[in-house]
Amino acid sequence: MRNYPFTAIVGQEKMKKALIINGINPKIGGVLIQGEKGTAKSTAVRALADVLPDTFVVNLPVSATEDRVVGTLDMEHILKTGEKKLEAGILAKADENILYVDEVNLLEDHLVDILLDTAAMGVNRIEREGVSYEHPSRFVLVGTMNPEEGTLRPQLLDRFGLCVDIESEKNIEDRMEVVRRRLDFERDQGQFEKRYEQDQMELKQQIQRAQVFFPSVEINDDLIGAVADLSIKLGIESHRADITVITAAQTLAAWKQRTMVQLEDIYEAAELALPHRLLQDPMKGNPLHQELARLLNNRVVDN
Amino acid sequence: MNGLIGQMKAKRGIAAALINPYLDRVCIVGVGGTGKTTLLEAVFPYFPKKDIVIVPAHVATEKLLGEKEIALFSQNRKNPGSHSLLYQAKVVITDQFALMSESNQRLLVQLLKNKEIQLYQDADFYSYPLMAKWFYCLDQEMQDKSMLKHAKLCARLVPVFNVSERRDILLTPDDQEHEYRKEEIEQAKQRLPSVQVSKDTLRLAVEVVLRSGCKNQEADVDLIETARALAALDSDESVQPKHIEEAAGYAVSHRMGEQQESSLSKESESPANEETSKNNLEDKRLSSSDKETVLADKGRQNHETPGEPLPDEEPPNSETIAEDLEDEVEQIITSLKVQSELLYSKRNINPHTIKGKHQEGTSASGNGRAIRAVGRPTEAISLYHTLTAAAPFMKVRVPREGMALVIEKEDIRYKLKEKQQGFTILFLVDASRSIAAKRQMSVVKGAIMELLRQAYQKRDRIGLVSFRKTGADVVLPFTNKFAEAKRKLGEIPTGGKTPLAAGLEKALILCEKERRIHKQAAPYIVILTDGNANETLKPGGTAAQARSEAYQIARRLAREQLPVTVIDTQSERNTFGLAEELTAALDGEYISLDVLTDKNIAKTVQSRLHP
Repeated sequence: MRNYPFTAIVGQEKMKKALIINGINPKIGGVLIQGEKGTAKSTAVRALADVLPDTFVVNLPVSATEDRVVGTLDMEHILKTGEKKLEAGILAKADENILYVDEVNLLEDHLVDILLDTAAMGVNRIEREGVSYEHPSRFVLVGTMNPEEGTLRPQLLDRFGLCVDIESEKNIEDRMEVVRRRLDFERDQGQFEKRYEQDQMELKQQIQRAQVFFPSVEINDDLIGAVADLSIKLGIESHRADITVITAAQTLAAWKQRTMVQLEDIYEAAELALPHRLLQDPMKGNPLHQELARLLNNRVVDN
Repeated sequence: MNGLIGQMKAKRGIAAALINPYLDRVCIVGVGGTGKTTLLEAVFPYFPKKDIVIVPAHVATEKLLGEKEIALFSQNRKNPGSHSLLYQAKVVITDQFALMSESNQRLLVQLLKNKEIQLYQDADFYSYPLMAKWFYCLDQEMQDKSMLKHAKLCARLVPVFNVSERRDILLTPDDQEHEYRKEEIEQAKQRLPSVQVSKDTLRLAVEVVLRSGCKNQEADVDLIETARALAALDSDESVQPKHIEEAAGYAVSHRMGEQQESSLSKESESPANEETSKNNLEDKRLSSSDKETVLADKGRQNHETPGEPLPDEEPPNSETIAEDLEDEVEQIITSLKVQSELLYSKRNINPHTIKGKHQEGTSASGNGRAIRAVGRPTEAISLYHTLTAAAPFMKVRVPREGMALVIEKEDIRYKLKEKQQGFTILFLVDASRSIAAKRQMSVVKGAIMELLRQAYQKRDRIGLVSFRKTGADVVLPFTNKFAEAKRKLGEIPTGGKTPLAAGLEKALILCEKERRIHKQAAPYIVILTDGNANETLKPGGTAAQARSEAYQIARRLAREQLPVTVIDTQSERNTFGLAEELTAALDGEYISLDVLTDKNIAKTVQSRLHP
């Protein structure tokens, strides 16, 4: 089964950007993609692995058992030999890969707890029948959900570094292009891949260059001040928000082959990292979202 | 005649799905007894038997995902033992999809969409492809229409023939007029790759989907692919507008109800009648025109897209769309609306006429899903975990006569099942004159909103019953939906006499019902009252009768062991002790707050529930 090439996805630039910078720098903390059905969410996530070096997409099924996720004792081995042996779970495989949770809002509560625990520490601990074991589990958490089917627990929401809302394409020409490419892909996957080989290669190289670039990206104190200012104005309590904005801005700078973070990187990053952290008051709709948009617009105009 | 058309339609839909491999999720919808299963069985002969996997409704999650099989005796295990039921399936059949547990439904759909199954084997991670075509059946009378949306193509059966006649027609192989022969399908399959789609046809298809109000962009491709399959079936070299029209019935109509459905479910539990569905259609027309206005902006935004090859077409311009295309779209949309309405509207159902093998039902004995094994006894033993726990000691233990394994008491592990989380809270609120006069209603509303705000995190569900004048009203059925609650709380009428007995009785009925549905959830009742009662169940009694009736029902609540807290709306100084008396009859807890504010009430309730 071949994946649809990442570079062949029409539109949805924000989602692609969020995925790419997470691919460059896993420390950003993953991305939550919210949108209606059929907006290429899953396609994009699966396609991302192809443009990242040595990366898999590991699926976390919403109804998996704890044993399968965390890992458990290898029963067969025990019965045969009388020795304990550990069988690793999904979290072991997800280490240094992409952990993909489709319909993350439907993830069962006990799995959400495990996920929060592991994502916070970057370590998965297994405590089973007298076996204590831990292994690193640093994954890029990518979740997709359709908000119409239920909301996400606030703790889990905050765990996602970035969040993008996507909509289906309303432009007829673009939609026709989506169908055309899809038809071509279905007709001859090999040939379709060839068409995008060049683009895929360039994207891959750009990502790798950005990864090399990233450690040397600097950010000056004024910009750090601007981030803090933005968060205070929006009443965001979490410091993780500030840190994520800065990390994402640095990654964006690296992506653009710059060694200094610029204000535009900050705002681009804020647009991805802040919306889901705004205090949501269901009584009043979303005035803070408008405030964020206003602040971001003003700043971009100012500069 | 009508039935013949309907049936031909369903069969053409299935034929299209058989021809085009892209159409891999197919739904068959029909009223009970129209022979959905029979049509499903008619699919079988088109595939080798070994490729077909039938997934029963009660399938275990482990079976779907694949689990490690214990192979103690085979020394060299070549083939991995942990295959999913779906391993190497080419065709997956779920006749009773609606009866599968919700988590398994989601899992199955996810696996089929991912087109691969991932698993571990001896510390090795690998995946195998799952390239299966999925056929599932749904009953048209089902409650949850969202299950329709999994399908790329949906074929609908019209209830006219009885089952035996239908079976004759479906299964008679030489009935060439009605049956697609295997060769016919095979030939169409050969023709499919050369079926062309012109630019205008493509535009027509996209317009149809956009205008239908279906939000799912995937419908574009599904519509085109269905139309291509139909064109191949008709030996046409390119897709004609008539194919688009026909295909829209299969690929779009079942997705149109999505908005309709969500707006309906918000309303209430009352069944959709003709009128509301018509209204919704109106709404949809409005919303689709809204979308068109957004369209222009969107197009502009999309041009500043670095790194993404844009289609080298002329810029979008709705005026260039030819008039006849416009007409065509209009015509298709009109016919789609009719079809969608048929699919989504609930007709008046006489419960005795429902046929078919199964109906939706809640699972027996409200057991949760096993989430882990624990040492302390619960309802069920986990054999797997028990054996695992015992295994390390096998070497040193001496088995009893005829026994291969030794399992001691301390090895036994139990399944910890997941229970419904959170509490169910029922507010019973006095909305009579005395309360209204003191403006306490707004405090109560505030408290409920506050609790609902927290309920979002704590997974509580909240309901509200108010009583006034001559009876009690369910203002808010148990919910954790904030928006819905807010709307309903908006206008609670106040004033009139105080029918406490009626209020208590309503609360009792609701809680008993709730307890029956969610086995574990014992609703927690919060009563806000001054304890006064001056209206009887049958209006017109004296105050003394009213009070004695209220106490009688209060004692019934106590016998049901429903946890009750009474919050006295009289402040401490001038209380008459009536609320305390009531609390005693209820065997509940009495709370008198110095200051009755919304935050105070919410805090008190929360501290009782989540200490």
